[in-house]
Amino acid sequence: MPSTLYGIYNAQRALSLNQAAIDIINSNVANMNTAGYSKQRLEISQAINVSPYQNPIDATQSGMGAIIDSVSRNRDVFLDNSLRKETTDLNYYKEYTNNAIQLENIVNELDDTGLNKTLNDFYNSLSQLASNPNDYVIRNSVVQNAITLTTTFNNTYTSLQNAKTGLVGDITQPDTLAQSKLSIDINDLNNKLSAVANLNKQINLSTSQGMTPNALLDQRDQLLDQISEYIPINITNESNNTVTLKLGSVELVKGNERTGFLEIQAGLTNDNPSIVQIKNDGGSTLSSNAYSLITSGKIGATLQVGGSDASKLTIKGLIDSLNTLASEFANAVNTIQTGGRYIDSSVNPKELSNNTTNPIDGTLPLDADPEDFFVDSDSSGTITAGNISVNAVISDDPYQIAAAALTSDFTETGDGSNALSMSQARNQSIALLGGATTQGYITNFTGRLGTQSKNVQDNYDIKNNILQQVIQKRESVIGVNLDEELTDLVRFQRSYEASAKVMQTISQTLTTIINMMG
Amino acid sequence: MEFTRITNRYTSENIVNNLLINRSKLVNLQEQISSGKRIKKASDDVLASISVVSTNNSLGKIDNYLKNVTNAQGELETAEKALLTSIDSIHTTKELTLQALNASSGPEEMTIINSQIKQIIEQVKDLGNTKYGTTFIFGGLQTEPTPFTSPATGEVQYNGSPDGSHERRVEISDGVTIPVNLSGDAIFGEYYTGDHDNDILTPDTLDGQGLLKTLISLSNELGQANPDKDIIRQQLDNLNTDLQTVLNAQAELGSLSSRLEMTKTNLEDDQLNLTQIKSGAEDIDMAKTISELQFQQTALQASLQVSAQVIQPSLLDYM
Repeated sequence: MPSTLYGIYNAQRALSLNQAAIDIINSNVANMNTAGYSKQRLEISQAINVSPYQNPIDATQSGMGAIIDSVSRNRDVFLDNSLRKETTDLNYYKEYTNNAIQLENIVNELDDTGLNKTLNDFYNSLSQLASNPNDYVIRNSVVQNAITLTTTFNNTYTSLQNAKTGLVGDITQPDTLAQSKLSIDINDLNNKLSAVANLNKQINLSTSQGMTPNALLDQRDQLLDQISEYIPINITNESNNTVTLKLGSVELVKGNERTGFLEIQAGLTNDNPSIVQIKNDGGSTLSSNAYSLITSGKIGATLQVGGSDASKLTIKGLIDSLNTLASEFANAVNTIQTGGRYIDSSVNPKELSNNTTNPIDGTLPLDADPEDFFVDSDSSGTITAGNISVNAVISDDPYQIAAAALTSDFTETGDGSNALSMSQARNQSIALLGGATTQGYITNFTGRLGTQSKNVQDNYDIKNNILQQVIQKRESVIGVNLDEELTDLVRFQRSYEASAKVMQTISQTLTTIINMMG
Repeated sequence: MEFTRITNRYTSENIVNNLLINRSKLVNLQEQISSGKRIKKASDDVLASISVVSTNNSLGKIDNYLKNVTNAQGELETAEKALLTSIDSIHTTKELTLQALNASSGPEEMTIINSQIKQIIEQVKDLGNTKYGTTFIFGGLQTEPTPFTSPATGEVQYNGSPDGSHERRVEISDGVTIPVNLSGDAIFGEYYTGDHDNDILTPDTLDGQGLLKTLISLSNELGQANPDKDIIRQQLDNLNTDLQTVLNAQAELGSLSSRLEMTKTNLEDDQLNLTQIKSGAEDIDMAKTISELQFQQTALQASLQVSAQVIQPSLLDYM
């Protein structure tokens, strides 16, 4: 037989239980729009043994009210994992897509300012020169078109190089490594890893004291979601609610310690200016090059676009293609230019050059051989898209363009056959351009870049759709539904009212007894 | 029935997401309509972009070939006019020669005829120095210094590129070139005193060929006190040969002109075709895009309306 006041205690417990339930609804409703918040639930069960002084038989026979077991979070580990995996992939393609679109805009051959257009103008002006080799105005227009062409090459090169430096830095300018996107992302990631270790510590402490630190768990889950944007991370749940984070097989966080962090090391060549290493606070290197581990996520995309993997769309690949084009184009034109005769404008009337190598008349004073049309502005010995420029000899005196063939005589300044050959260099297939013509190479190049860019954009769209579905599934588990909360609110409000009524009734029965005794 | 637990955070995120997608589609269509272009970068449509880039190449070349053809046609026309005039001159000379051979022609007539022939020699020399723009068209590769000069009275020398290496060619389609000039010495000839064998021992003699040789020889004979009619008659035969040379040259120019005309027509056809291909690849179909735009606008409005209705109600409204 329970004590007389047992009912009062019971009702009081019911009141505080309902009060707690309403508090949780309060928290749910308040956090309805908080990112990362998981809906909390009061786990209630029927009390079976409230007091050690009671006879267990009685306990099974009469109602002892309800007790709070715990406050739990709505969470599904499987959905969390699949969401994080999709987040990693999505961010990889998102980053790749942004870069691909930027690269396409830099190397845009569809508008009227690209390389294709300027090459066309250059070849056309040479063809005009072939018809009027004596005409200074036309010679000058060839030079102007050549300057526009080299400037376009240079600008495209610089823009690509800047884009690459912005992503992964440039070893010739050490400052850029620390300012690169890769470096900033890695710093963010390292901070987040430390934060996870820190949260692990607090969670461990609370859990070992028998508490359920829901807010901390939510905070850590959100951090893990964010970390999965950067790198493909493996998450294992350990005892006391802590998590272990690994990149490949390298541990980054274990328990309350950040066991590894990412660090940028300058590469040996500018092909891969930044090398990502994994180190620990003790100073040892856990991975000397994490390129093969970071296959996805934003950092993975940045590493790949800024790297030198020939099977991927890389900035280096684009720059290399442009360099080959610039050097092969210059080579084709220079070979023809140096095999002709220019007009010696220093004599009157003007006459063709008496080249040193192939003189018209070896007994007469000799002229210098025709100079290359295109040269490298930095005298490095190799023409690239970055240094191609019009030889100053030619831009200062357009008569130096060797429009005439070697077969022509002094007075035959009207011979434009060599200029015609230079113009026809546009139809020449060049082995190092894969057997394509200069402009055919640009077409192939545009097609390749377009296809690669389309590919990552398509993947981005697909991943975006998948992630939306996973988010929807997870939200339906962890999110707050207002109707549900309001229903619960009414439920517990009624329950509270009823418990109060019970207490009042018990109190009245006691009063009755006491009055009788009075 | 299976149901998904729809949460408020999800509903609002979903709505915002869908509205963003709708809006970006709308803006994309608006951009296409205002620019008139379907593709802005290669990845928008790779095949179409390749076709745009390669037709741009071809169109650039055709543009250039057309300029060359027009230029060449101009030069050929100028040459044709010069040849027509020289044919007239030959006919006049023939008439004058026949007049000179006439038994009744005395020394005064001979002098008058000779002075007329001298005029014709000057005229033929000037024709040889015909210019197209700043270019002497009969000098071969030597287009700037005057090709026909008179080193001495009664002489005309040709200084241009020799017959055979005189051709100036222009490109009229991929890898195809066409000559735009004829050899000046082959048509008009020359006659002057020259040291042809660089030998100072032998006295220099008048030498030359063609029309100018005939004309100058004729003039020289007529200038004699007692002109030899046989020699004059001989020159009449030579004139016929020279006339034939000019007529042949005229025929050659004619065939070049018609070839250019044909090429021009072909190039213009190609240009039209390629422009259509390019336009098909990159231009939008206005009617289609506008109706798509309207469809998209309706879709956006519908989703706005529905979203507003979905967000609003909750149990709260009825408590």
